[in-house]
Amino acid sequence: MSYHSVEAARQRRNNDQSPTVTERGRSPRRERSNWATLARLAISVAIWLQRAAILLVGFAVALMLIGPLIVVIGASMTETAYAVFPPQGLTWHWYAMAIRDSDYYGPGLLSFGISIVSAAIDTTIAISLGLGLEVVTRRRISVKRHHGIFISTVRVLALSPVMFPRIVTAVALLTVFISLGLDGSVVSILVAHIILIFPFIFVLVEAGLANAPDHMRRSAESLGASATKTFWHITLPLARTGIGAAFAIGFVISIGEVTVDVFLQGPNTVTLPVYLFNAVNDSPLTSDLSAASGIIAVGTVGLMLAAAISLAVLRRSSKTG
Amino acid sequence: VVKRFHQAVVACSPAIIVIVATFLVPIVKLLSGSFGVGDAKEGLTLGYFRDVLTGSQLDHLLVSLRISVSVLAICISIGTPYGWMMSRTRGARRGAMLGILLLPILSSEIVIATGWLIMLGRNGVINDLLAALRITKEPIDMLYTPAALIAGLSALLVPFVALPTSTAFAGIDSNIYRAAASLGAARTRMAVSITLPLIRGALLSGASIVYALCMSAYAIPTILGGGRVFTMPVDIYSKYLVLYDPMVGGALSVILLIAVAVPLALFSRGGTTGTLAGYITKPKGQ
Repeated sequence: MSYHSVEAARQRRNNDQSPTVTERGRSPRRERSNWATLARLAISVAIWLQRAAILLVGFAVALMLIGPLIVVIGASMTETAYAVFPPQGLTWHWYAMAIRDSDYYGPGLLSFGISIVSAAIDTTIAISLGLGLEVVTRRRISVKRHHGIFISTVRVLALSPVMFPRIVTAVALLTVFISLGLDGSVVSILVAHIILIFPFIFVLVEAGLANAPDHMRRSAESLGASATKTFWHITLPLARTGIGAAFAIGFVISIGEVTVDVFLQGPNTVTLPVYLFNAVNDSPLTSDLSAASGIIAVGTVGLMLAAAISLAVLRRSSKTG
Repeated sequence: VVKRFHQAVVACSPAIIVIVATFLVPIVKLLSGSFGVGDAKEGLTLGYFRDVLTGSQLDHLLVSLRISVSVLAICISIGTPYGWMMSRTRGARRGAMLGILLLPILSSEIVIATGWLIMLGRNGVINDLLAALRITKEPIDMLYTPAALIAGLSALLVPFVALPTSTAFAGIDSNIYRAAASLGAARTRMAVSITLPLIRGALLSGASIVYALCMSAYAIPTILGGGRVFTMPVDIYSKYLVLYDPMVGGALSVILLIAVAVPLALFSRGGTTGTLAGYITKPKGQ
């Protein structure tokens, strides 16, 4: 809000000054200058207070968002056996233990595999869907009305998994998997992840496909390229940033998913987040658990920094090139 | 690549089949099952809903609603100033502010919940700090209370208010304020009649996302509630998997669905899909 006040104050000053100089002259203004300075001082104090308040809120938000991550990483370096912050002493012992501990490997591998496979499947069917929808959209005006209905229905359908609360999806899926006798199988978790991350992947893939303009594809085809050749040589290279981003976001969301995995977990289908979730719930917080969380936290921050840097590099190269 | 309508339909079909078979069918089954469709013993009935709404579950719904409304209030009152700050910042500082917002979205809920678990404990940082400042004499039990849930969920969900409002603030043409000032509008008047209407859409869409995610959050309420605070999702889990009562679990999830959907429909007439697409693609596009 202080921006408005700055603007308003500046405006008021301008309004005050212009007639003073031109019409009223300088002397009447001098007489009131004490009050004017006081008022101006009051305004600037008010602006300053507002600014300070907003700055304070900003820092509070930042602290609230980063705080938990810092605490997790800090607590994992304590020398005590239970997680405590600020850490007492500094040691990497718990990290070594978490890495050596083979209990994490099964869930970790399962999570990794499921996220890769579900993101890959989703990206593939999302590309197919995006291309199909685009063709209908392009020709809608000239053709029939039911095409428009088709597009909006498919779109709502594609985005629907994200509109339902996860827990409702989880309950619905579990009911069906139990009746099919599939509960506790890897397939059930894979199917759930494919459903959950599809809307995110679809939105980004569609944005990526918009980067491959229709006229380029048509000129390729008019030069005699086959449909598959056009796809591999024109569409895919042009849309690869969006598609890559879709895959990455889908992977990140999938590997962090807890709610649905907790519902669908069986003895052989404990993913890494579920493993940590169960451990945090069942026992007092030990330092090696905090270290495992710390590894995930550092991994996330690292992944984000890498993404930001690669995006910046990409942007720079696209500017110069 | 694809030329005719039926070819396009073929191209769309894998996605449609996957979503209908593995999402739509289970949801429809859940909805109809909670009314007793396909139930040999009872037949069509509203009995499960009656059981759910007369028992202690009603309290859990109220707990969920209270927590969600508090989180919503906190997210709006601190997320909006943050969004405003972000819209006034440029360069590396803006990048840092954006990064801070993206951290909780990208990192696992478990990690964040663990962090709050360490902070809020009897020997945690916050109690240490309060004792050091001589505000409290004895450590307060903050863990496993609704307040702990509110803190954890707000920290997770603030970005969904801060991100859309920051783009809305950045999109306001400052000439409007000049025009208003030249017409003699006071600052409060400008805030009410210019700023508020212009960020209204962003606020509403952010608020509806926060509300929906808060009502259906499961992992954080379980960890920070420690079996003492029962929200709807925690209740659904215990009914369904601990007590193994799928029909009541199903009816509860239908009630949760209604409790989420009705305010959302009132909130955003424009539909949430557009805003969703907006905040997913925005970080990339900026």
